[in-house]
Amino acid sequence: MVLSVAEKSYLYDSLASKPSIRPDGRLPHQFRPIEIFTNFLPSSDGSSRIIASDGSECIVSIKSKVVDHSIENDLVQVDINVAGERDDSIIVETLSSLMNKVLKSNKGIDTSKLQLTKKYSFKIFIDVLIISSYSYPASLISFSIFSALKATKLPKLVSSFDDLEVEELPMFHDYDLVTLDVNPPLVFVLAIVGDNIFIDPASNETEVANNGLIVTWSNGKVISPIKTLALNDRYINGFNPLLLKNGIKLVEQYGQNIADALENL
Amino acid sequence: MSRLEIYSPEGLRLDGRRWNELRRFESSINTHPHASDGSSYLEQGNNKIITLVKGPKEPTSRSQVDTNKALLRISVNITQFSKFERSKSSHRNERRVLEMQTALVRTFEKNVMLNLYPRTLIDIEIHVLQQDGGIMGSLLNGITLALIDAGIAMYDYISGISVGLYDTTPLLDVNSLEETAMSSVTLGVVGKSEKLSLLLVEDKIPLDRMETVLAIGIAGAHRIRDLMDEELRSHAEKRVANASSR
Amino acid sequence: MAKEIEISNSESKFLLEALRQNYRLDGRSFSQFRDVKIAFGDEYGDVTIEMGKTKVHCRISCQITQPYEDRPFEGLFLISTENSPMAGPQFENGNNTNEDEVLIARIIEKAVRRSGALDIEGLCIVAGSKCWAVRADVHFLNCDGGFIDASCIAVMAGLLHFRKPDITVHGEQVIMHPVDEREPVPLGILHVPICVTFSFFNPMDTEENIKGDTNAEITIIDATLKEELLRDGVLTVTLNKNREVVQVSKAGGLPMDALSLMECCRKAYAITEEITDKITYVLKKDEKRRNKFADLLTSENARETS
Repeated sequence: MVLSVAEKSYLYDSLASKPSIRPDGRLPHQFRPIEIFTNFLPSSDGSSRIIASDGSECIVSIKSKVVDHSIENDLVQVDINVAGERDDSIIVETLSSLMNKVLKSNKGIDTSKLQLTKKYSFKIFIDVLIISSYSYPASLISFSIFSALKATKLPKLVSSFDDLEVEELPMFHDYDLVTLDVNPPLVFVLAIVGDNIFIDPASNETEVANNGLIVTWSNGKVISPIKTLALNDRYINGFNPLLLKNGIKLVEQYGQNIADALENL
Repeated sequence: MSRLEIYSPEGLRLDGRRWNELRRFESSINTHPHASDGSSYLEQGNNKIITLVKGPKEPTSRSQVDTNKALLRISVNITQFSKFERSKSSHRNERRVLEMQTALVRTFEKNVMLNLYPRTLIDIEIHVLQQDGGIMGSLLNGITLALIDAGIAMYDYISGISVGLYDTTPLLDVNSLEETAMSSVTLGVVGKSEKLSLLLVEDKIPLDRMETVLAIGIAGAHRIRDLMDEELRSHAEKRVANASSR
Repeated sequence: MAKEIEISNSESKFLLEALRQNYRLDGRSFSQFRDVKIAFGDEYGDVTIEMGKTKVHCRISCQITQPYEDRPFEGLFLISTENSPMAGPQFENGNNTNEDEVLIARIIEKAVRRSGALDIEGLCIVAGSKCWAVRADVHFLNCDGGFIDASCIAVMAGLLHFRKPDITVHGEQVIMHPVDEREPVPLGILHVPICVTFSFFNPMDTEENIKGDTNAEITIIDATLKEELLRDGVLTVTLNKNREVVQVSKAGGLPMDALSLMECCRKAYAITEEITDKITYVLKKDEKRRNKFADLLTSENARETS
């Protein structure tokens, strides 16, 4: 978004004032409205499409494959595709390394839930397609992965769990499905302006942010990775370490509400 | 694997259609008003396609400027999850996809009045979320709708369809199961005429059957043109109603 | 950076006006295919095709490799088309992502490989572990239009001419007999696809082409380079002698009436027959040249005369 010097200065001052005033009148912890559709791709095991009010859009598909987990120990694979960007561009690489870190850490997706038998597990492929984005899309991606995983239904196992004694391939029920019961972490993007901190910065807010924070949340707790993020290339400077505490507090306070909202679609 | 019965003696196909029936055709336009200047979402059977038209806009590089007409660029993104089996590699830069892009550009170059938009770039971005046969035809339909939504001047609709030939019976609008079992023809028909802008045959077909296959295809394409036209008109009516009630 | 060929305004006007008056610059009629010259080299599978000034060379080679894991009963067949600046300044070395070059490669691929012109199951030696890999390398030596047609003829003539070394199989062990020890064996060719390219010109304005029903578009067969540069649309039809359409590609371009396209297919069939016969004739002649003494040496001959 291209803003004039005067607009930027006005935005900065209003965001940095006490109490802060956001251009769209939101409270510091308030999200913009989002729309989510789930399970609209019949050939995927789970899918979701999320559209933010500024028109940012992200589509996630979950597909699964049965693998021998003694050979294949990587049971979650995230692929991110941003429209108009090459696969080796900086934004795609940083986003995929972030999402891989978030989902594959020991607080991420509980891989024991993917185990089918003593020998075999489901491997899940999470494909993310970002159709358009106007601000840093990390939380949009994590929300849509969250809702896609919550909507994922996998075939029901009918053969026995213990297949080490008697060699057999897992057999599945013809049509019964079981819901995949995982609690993936959520990623929040926060913007720091002056001594204030905001959740879900809009594109005009990121333009004047002094710094950005990525905070990961799972099951009522803030977990790693937590890191800073340069949201623009003009205003970036250091920030008061107390703000980090404030940011974590903010996410801890409201994370559960978001998770509940996403779960009860 | 047991052989599937592609066309039963009773005249029914795998998905219950008769030989001359189209798949479910649902389309909507202006689906991504923020992200693009014109957009469409098309479901043709289980094909699900998002098309975004960006432009006419200023070209990003000097080399793309044509002083006489607009430059048309089409990129097709076939997602890795679009088929039933997830593909291991990205389809980008595959020769098949490059060929599709070239064919689409050359089809629309002759149908869009590019001379009205000199020194500009019209960028079309297509995302195939799911594919189930006859993808090329669906791409044509999606682009036509999105271009109309963008308000870019065209001579006429281009509607696309695939027709298969099972023994001697032509089957209209093939799905992926039928497509793998027999040879098919893809047509891109201009409006209500019998003119073909695009014609692709990738497998063997007896020369003497071609004419019937083309005739069925043209009829099917005209039907699709009408379905697209209906959707566009009802969308326009809604817009007019919204505007006047304000 | 490759250099685009530009054609001057006066030259293009002259050529188009001539077409309007039913003339082509090289004196051919609209539906006349250029004379095809097929020349074989000393070795099997070495062919040079000349069509007017267009010159294409094709070399078939083979070696024993491992088949693909998912297709244990099939051999490998690869066609590689290499454009180099030798053919003309519009081609670039090592860059095959140009739109036209991709289309050429894809059409030859579809016409010959996907249509199953070569019996790849016959290339299997030991299922799952050994098979023949046949490779066709097409080199464009000079470009005056009609690359697809010429290279398709070149590949097919090459495949028909090629002989692979004879082998003996003992279980897993394969002995390959050098060509001078044992008579090499020909490949299994299931049909001979021939490509014919049509070029379309629009003598009137675009509205008339799309909305009108005069169908006055000009159709010519086997365009030369200059005609290719000026054409509005192109159609490549691939047929074989069994009256089968193997592949059709009209990737956009000038919209054409379906009936005129059917007419093109029929015209293409006559040309296909002609060219297939020509290939057979040239092959026979080459065979005779190679086996100069065959008539003297066969015992059958002796019996017949007695």
